[in-house]
Amino acid sequence: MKAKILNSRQKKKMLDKLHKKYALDSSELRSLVFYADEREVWVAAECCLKQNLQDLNIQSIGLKLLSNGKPTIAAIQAFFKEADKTQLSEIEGKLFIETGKTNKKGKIMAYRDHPINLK
Amino acid sequence: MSDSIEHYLGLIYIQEAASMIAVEALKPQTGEVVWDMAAAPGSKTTQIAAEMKNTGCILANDVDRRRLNTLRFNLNKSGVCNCIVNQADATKLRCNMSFDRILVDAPCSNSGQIRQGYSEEAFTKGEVKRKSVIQRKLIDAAEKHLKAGGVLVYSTCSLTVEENEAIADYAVKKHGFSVEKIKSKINAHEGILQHRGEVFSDDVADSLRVYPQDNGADGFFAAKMRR
Repeated sequence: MKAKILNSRQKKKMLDKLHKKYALDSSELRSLVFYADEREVWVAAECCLKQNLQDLNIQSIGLKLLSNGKPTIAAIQAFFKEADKTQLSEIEGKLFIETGKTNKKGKIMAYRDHPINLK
Repeated sequence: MSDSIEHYLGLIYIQEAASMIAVEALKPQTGEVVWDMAAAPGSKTTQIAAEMKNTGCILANDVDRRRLNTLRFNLNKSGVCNCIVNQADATKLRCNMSFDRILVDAPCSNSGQIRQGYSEEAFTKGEVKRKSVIQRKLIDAAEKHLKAGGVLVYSTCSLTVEENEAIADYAVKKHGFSVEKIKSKINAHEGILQHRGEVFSDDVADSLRVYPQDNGADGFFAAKMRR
């Protein structure tokens, strides 16, 4: 694996940044290992990265959290308590988290804990 | 239900009732290392991940690259973080990993899905025989990587004895597995012990056979085995 595993300080820094930027509740992410290459950040259960993976033809490990610094759709759905068919910008994300509203029309959106009635 | 926001978010996953027996029987625990040998499209893998509370490690294996894309999509959608997606022929896996539990949800003739349509190609004797050869190879590979005391669940959505009880019997006789009873809330039958002159080990009766008419769901077979 070419990606680098982030140490605890780097991980904390990233979680703080995500909290500041997207009001992310980091509790679900604390137990996971972060690893990154130049543009992407992945999260995985620690046990996955402890395995002897040398001879495997690995397509992916864990879940891609950030791509080019922005949360991926999968991460948004899993951790960011909101969902959309497209990724939200920082402003849209903040607006949605704070008010449950978005300027985007015709998109499916929801809080994980407060499902929105589509009708 | 597939239009619900919960489904879109990956909070729920829609799966045939009978198919869920396999993971129920596997009973994966938090922190364990599990191998899903033929994982795509990921229905059972996501169920395993949920049972393990996203801890431990699942090696989700499939040979077909296109099906792996579907697998990854479903894993991502469900927020699965404890999974390694690997493209390989599970019968030829080259790695030193050993597993607490292994699910062999084997490729089969799909005859249990007869309610959903009929495929003449899948039901030929030749095709069933070809699949049963692969199924035996999967059992052999699983045996090599299973920890002592580990659990192996063999399942198919087929109704043919050649792909089900005959394979469980092979695992018992060749590798010394013992078959354990599966507790399930859905209507089911014991494994068949005699078929066309062939007599299977008594252990095989503890496997579980579900016909489509039993629950108004697909037909299914599962055998829970332990080393």
